[in-house]
Amino acid sequence: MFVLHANWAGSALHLWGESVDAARSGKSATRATTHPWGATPTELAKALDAVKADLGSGTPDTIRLLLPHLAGAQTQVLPSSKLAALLGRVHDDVQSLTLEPCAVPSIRVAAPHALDRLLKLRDAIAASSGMIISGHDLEWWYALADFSVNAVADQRVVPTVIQEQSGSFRGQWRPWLNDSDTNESVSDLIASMPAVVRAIDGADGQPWPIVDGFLAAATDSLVRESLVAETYEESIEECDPTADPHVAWLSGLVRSTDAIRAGRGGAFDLLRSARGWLGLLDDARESRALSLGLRLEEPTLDAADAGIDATWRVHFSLVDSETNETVIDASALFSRGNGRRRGAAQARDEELSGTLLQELARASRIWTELDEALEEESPTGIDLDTRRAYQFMREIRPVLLEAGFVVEIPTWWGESTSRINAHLLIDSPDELPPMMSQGGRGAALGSGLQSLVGYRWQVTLGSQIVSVDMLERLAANKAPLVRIGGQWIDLRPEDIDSALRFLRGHPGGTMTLIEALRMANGIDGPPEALPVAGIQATGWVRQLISGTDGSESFRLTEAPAAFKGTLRPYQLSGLSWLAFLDRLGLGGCLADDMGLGKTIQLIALLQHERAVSGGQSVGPTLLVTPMSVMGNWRRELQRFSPELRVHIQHGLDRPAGERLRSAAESADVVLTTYAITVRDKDDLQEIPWRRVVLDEAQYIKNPPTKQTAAIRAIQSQSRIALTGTPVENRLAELWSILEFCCPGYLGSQPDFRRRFAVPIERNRDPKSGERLRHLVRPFVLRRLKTDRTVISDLPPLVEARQHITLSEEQTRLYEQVVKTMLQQVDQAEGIRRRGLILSALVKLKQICNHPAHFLGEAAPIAPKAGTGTGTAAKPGKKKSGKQDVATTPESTTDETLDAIEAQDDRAGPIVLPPDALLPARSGKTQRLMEMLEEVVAAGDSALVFTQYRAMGHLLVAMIRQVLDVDALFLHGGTPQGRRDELVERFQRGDGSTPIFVLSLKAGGVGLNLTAANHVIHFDRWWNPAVENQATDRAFRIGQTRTVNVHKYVCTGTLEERIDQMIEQKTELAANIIGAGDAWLTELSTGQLKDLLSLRRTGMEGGE
Amino acid sequence: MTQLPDQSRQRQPENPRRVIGGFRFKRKGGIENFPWYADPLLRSILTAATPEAAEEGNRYAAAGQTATMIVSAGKVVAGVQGRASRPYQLEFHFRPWTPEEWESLITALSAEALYSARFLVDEMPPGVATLVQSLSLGAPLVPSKPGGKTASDPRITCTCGGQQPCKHAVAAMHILVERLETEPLLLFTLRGMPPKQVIERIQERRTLSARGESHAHPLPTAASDHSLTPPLTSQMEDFWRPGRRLHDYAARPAHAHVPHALLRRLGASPIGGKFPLVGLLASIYDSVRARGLRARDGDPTNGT
Repeated sequence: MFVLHANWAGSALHLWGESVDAARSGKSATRATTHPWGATPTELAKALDAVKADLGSGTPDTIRLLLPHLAGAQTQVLPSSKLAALLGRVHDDVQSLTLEPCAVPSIRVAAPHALDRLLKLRDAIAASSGMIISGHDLEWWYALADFSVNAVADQRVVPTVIQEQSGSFRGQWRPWLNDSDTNESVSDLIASMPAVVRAIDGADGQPWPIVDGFLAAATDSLVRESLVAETYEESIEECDPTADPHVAWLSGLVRSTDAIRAGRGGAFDLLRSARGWLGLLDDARESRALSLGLRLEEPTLDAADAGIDATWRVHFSLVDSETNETVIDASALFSRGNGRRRGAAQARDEELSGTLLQELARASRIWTELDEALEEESPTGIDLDTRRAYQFMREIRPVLLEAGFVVEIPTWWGESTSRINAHLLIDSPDELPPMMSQGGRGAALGSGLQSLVGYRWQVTLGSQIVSVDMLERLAANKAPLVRIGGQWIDLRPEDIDSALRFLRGHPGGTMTLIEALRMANGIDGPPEALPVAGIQATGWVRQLISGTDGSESFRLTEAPAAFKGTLRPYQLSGLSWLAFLDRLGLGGCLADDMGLGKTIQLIALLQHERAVSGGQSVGPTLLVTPMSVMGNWRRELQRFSPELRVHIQHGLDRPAGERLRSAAESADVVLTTYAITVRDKDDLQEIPWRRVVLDEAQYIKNPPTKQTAAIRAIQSQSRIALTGTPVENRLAELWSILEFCCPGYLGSQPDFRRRFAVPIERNRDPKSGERLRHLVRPFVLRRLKTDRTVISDLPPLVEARQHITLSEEQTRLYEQVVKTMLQQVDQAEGIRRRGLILSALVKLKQICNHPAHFLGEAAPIAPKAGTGTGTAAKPGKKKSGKQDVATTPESTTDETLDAIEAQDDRAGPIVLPPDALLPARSGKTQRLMEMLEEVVAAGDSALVFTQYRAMGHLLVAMIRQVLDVDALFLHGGTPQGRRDELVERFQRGDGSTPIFVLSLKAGGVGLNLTAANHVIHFDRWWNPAVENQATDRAFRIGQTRTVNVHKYVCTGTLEERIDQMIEQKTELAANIIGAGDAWLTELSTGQLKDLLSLRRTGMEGGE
Repeated sequence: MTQLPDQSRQRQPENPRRVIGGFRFKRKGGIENFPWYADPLLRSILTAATPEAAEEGNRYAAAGQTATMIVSAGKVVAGVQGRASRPYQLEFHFRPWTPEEWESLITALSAEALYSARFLVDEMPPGVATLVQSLSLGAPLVPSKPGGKTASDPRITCTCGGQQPCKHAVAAMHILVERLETEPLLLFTLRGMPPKQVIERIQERRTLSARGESHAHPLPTAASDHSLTPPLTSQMEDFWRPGRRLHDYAARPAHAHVPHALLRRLGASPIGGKFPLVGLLASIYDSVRARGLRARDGDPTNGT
């Protein structure tokens, strides 16, 4: 297993790798001449070969890089961020980093092959199963590779001449980067270049030569290869390059070698004149204060002839280059020049007209008809007939715009309404098809998508429907633009042709809804190239495609009477949407932002369908959730819809076969986990489900896993997916989720990838993005907290408890500690008894956090240790639970917090056994990863508070490994300067560090962290004041968004018990608050037992 | 500059025909005190010519008998009006430096900023002559071996058919030297390269040494925007990941494709070749697009 990296050095691409095994096995990281776990070229080539990444002519080499080392007695090279994540390694002490040279073995890929190999490598790694892992820096290289491919595909390349140091000349193809938006893109790429890419020892660390070197090599190789393949060389074969500079240039451009075959003087002249020519392109708009503005005015409406002979006029003006505002029209400029102005005003006018003429001359290079205007003494504009006006709009204008001129044309141009369009008309009745409206059993999944609708095609010109006859007449007319009903229509001959073929070939009929929706969005459409302007429908189909924007006004239903809660307006519209889809037998994905209450909308739906069923039995809903949120669901179901019968399919004694079937049939909701669904899939498939709901639906991933397959195999009338991640931006996820909700709707995976994922993600094609958004709109509802037009009544602070289910391992450990403690305290007294209780208390809290926290697996390693895994506890000694935690009872909150935090305080890199990082070992960490994934995906940011520094380290490592994000970490040992730096980085709000883990003690007061809009209390300090103070780091002046506070509570544990006491303000609560844990020590054994023993809920274990 | 001799005037057999508007040698100091870069030319032709030719030529020069004079690379062509009805066609052929010789001179000149600086204000620093000498170029900076032989520098031909240097050559040389006095860089033209090009090539060479290459394409402003990247030492915490602006980049919508946009913006080629470059580029751009689209769709095959 290797983590792959790339560098550009010495005009070649160097691929190199870190061996994960070598790094893990603790091969010495001590500063050495070569990278301690750098893969040898042979190893790397073998691994690349195994994933079928053909490196062709790569040769073994070595590059020298400057890499971060941990300073100290023995300087050690640090693993790359990707490797560190894989190893679960965290170093916290940046002050001691130094940059040291390090020789790294590499495979050298010569410039002409760099692009090709890089692209192949990406696909090979993506298709492989983890033998090779792309380092983070490769993402950047892939972006650069795509950039060069796109430049070639968009013809944004230019030929150039280069003189080498040796004095020889060569031709080259390179991307044209000087237009302002391209330049901006290049700035982005340069600014985002990973440091390692330019950390080449002996170079000056400047990014440009690397970007330039790679882009030129990539562009030149791709272009040259195609020119050689198409034998362009033949066209200059007969010509003498020494006699003709054009031929000389081409001799260096179209052949496989790039030497310019001309004498030195000739080549030199070529270089100079080519520079002058290319310089014309670089007439950057930024550099001039004024630009030429061209405004095309259409013929007046009452003009006698609005046909081919109509007069269009292009008016000239001078425009402010920065604001695009007109400074002066040419006509005004020249008319006031007639005489009366004097002195400075006159001089100014002369300057302006000089600029205007200069600009006209510049534009005339592109639009030669301007020469005509330049023959006049005072050119103010130019008249065009309809045909030339059409050419101006269609062909000239885009080029003028690119060259930085301001061109204004009538607004109808380019609108689909001014083209020939095809519309899909769908007839459906207002009433829903009976099969669906009854919500009865027996309807198959996706029946709604398969239902037949009547359709016909309509071709329109503007707002007019046109017949075959009329089209034929227009075709005979051959005018590119006609005015119909006062509106100009762009009549491209190719459009007319395809419209005719279309109308003759597609009379209408019936098709399925899925076909209709796909066709209306230009997928699976008729092969003719006519733009499909959209879909017009009547009846329920119309409702489906138009009424689901999720706005508060979409409300088909009220909250069901039996629902014990209040739905906010947007939640009511969400319920309406779910109910509407449901009645149509359609599935959907509710993807509201975290904190908007997806859970209660779904619960309301369950209640709603029972309210409208008129007493008829409604089938059971299978609700699949991650283990961590099961408890939360159960609690919310109980709270909002106590009427609903819930069966929890969990635990070792869960029913199977017939028993499961009858349990399901007598329940409204069957609550289970993803893992159980896989295990019980055979039984679950036998049950006629009303609906399958997936919570945290991003769990069904692509490529399909056993889990995904098991879930898809369960039949039901409808399927709903809930997720808080922005699915629309994560295309693989979107496909997987919709494939679950609406099977077949997005087509096969490869088809979807080709049609949408590649154009959107690699080519940044806005049209494909737009089409996809339209396509999924009926079936995905996502509302953002920030969208005040949708959600108008969100309070500034929303607090919620997250009820977390313990994992099996946690359950076992918890019960064991309680049991041991109860036995011991019974026989102990005084100080010893108190010590035992407090020690047990700490253990229980740690178990609730994560077994690795309790088992001490997160032992930090001092830098001195020098080796990879060092003293980290081996996973596997779980049961022993040997604890050496200092548990001196303290009487005041602050001191106790200090003590707790300092318990496991040693600086240095933390190395964890891979197992320690499994979030699934703890309900809390699993839930945290789910929530943080949504936070990161949505571009939000979060504070995570814990009392324990060790837990903080564990969380940071886990976040890094699972989410591939570097979390900031502030604790008691963080020096002041570093603190300020961390706060500053977080507050910068550029999204690079969206997660901030803080120890409650060090980060709970004083800091201003308003960049966060989520606050997570991972473990609890039984003092609401302290917690609120911590919450106030984010919820304070300067905060502009709603702050969501999530308090983690482990169901059935002392956490829940004490939380309830505080919530209910019991007598005991008064003691608890502000007194540390000392009060506990005064409890009797019976009271202790009552407080601490685990109350089973039927949801523990089993996984 | 070309002036036809006025033929309406009366002939005077002893004296040459008068020329209206010819180049007249009118220097106050006479032939004395020419600067170092002009003096040897005149002195050497006066020495090489017969005393009569020198005398006559001197007189012709003062009388403005040189009707036309065209200076081009390595060659000066002049029309000198004598007693015949038409002016004699006179040619000075200077010995050119070979491209290699020029290259070595330009390399040497680019090593010191002084030279470009002086050249830019039309001055000829004395160091140039020394440099030419030390580089052992095939000819000195200032030609001083005029005559009619192949090896002469300049080699003189005249339609008068007389022994060289003839009086016409002497007359024309006066005019040329007077012009050299104010335009010393013309010496470069005489050796085969116009001064403008010499200056450009020196600048080019300086760029080449500074940057390792010189090229025809302009660089985008992003290339020299040093504010984009902080020092490496400040990035040690985030050494491996792409920066945030990669997201900005990815979120930027792609350009709408405008066929042949760059080519159309370039317009006609000013390079002066005869081969239809723009036409061929148009079909090249089509091939390029097709290739790019294929690569975009996942066919990066490079053939090799």
